Amino acid sequence: MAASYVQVDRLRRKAQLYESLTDQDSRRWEGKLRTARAKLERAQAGLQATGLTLPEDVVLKVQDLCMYFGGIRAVDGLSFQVKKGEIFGLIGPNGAGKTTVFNCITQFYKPTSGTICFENKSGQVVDLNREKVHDVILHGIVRTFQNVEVVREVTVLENLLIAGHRQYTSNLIQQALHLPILKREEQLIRERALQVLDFMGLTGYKDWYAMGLPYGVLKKIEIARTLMCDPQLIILDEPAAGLNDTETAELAGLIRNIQKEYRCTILLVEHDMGLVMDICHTVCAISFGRLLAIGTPAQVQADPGVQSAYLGVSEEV
Amino acid sequence: MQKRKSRIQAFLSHPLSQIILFVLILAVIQLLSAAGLISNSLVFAIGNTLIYAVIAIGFCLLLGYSGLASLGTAGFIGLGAYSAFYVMQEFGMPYIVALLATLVVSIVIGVVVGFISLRIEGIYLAILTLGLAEILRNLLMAMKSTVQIEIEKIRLFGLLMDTRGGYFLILVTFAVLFWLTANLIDSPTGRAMLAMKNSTSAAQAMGISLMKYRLLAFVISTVFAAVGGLLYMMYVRTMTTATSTLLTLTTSLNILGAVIIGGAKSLWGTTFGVFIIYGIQSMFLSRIPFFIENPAFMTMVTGVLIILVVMFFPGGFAQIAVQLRQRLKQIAAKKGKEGGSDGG
Repeated sequence: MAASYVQVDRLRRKAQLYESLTDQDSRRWEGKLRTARAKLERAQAGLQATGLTLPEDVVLKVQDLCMYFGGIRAVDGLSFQVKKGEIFGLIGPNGAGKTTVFNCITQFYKPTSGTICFENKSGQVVDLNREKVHDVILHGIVRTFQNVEVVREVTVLENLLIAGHRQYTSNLIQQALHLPILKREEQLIRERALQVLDFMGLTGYKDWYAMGLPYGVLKKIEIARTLMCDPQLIILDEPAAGLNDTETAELAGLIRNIQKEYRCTILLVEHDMGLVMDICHTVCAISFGRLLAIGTPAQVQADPGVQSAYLGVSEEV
Repeated sequence: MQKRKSRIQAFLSHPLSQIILFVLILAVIQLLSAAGLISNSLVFAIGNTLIYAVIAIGFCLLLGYSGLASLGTAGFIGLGAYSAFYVMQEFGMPYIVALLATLVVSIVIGVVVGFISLRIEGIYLAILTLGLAEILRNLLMAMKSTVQIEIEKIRLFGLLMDTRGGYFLILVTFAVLFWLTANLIDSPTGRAMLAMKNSTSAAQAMGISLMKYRLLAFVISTVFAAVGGLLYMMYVRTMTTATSTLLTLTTSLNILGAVIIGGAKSLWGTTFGVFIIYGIQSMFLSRIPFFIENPAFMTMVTGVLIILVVMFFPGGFAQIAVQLRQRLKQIAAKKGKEGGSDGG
């Protein structure tokens, strides 16, 4: 039986849930746990290999990526690799196509051509272009947005529960009847959300409605959301935009902490050069959708192509 | 005493106990009318209003939680009403079969509209559903201009559903659907819908499938509207489609108005809104001689009410209730303080 990654992921969560239930009340849930495990094994056996490979230490490989909007070539043959566990910065002048690259990786746009290979949470290499936009999170890719997209009508805690949406395995009937299994699941995910809030220093805002909270806090909520799903790759779209100097310094520490604590890779677009040069291990500069330079912050800073893209070409040269 | 008080509060704040309490009160009203203490027409009006409350709850999920605008409610009510007529009157089947037929038909239509909503949004979706409702109304009218069910044909598990039985059936249906909806709202589904309403891109990034939840929202609201139509035919038993306003835009707008003045995100607020829009007319105004002579003024009263609520309480009656509670708490706290200082 052929199974998709989405199905296997769901069955794995279900088995985990029954495990935790069996710990509480073994007689009632043991049977269900056994069936869930059997189903999971069968699905895993049926999971087809993608036949894709990546070099040992690479987590994301973008190859010849093109994204055209009519005649506009927003991204034009861009290639780069992101290593496991690094903080990777994508920079470029306004309109260089940075956010478009992010939107292609997270499948908000389907690229015109090119491949995006990613090693997901379970060590399988997948071609992201084949995934639906709402399934990308299952592989461990989460993102934030340039103009903060927090659900303003609910509390901060509920925002995190929304981010944990795909961790719920209860079906519609179980939800409509509020069966014990949903309640247990809710409890587990709530605990996790509280941990994340604690890590982010947002515990005090737990029951506040997101509407009307300061901008800095909203930005933090967005980052907190990305931590709800065992992230493998976190994509931050201008995390420092609109923050003051103190907040930016705090953010730098926070991003480093996240990378250490959650052992994930972080990919970010940022205009604050101070921040980028401070925290990034690798920097990639693009202009008009094409690669200018890639390397350590110092190398990229010294690159004449990057300097001319940012400052313009001097007539005398 | 403090402990007992907090226990009572906890009991009252649970949706299941709230709904049971509500049903009990309305059941007692029916019994009072049987004892001759309340007029039958008032009880009939309450039953009728509850039918609209069922429809409005489904619409609340669609508008208040999923942020999808629809003006097609009346058309979906018609689906339920005509399924009821054909199954029970023409084929002589019991109520349960009519219910199943209604569910099947409304789920199919709900899925269709849900798919359309993936392509068309906002005001255009409202216009499109309005058109769909008109098509449905004319189609149903062409099939049969007057639908009427004989009272002997309405049987649930062999029991005859006369006006009293019908009242209880409406009450039970309302309670069950209210409870299921309240549960859904307080679960990942409800939160996913709210996320979708606030920001489609954030919802998608968090793994929420727009298609799944838009379809779900439309299916639920369509099913609730169609069940409303079925209950209407069971309770009122007759409808002349050409002259009745039930299947016209008026109904869709009234339901929309009820949800908005009740508080688009509160089920109790919505129920209250329905009682304001439909109940005030049928229960009180229609008894005042002035309004009996000038029925147009009745609509004006509700119109003025809607304007006042939207102007001063954009969150609807639910907001008024929250503010009242806060004010009461403040007063109680102040009193407690004064009492304390007096004692000291």
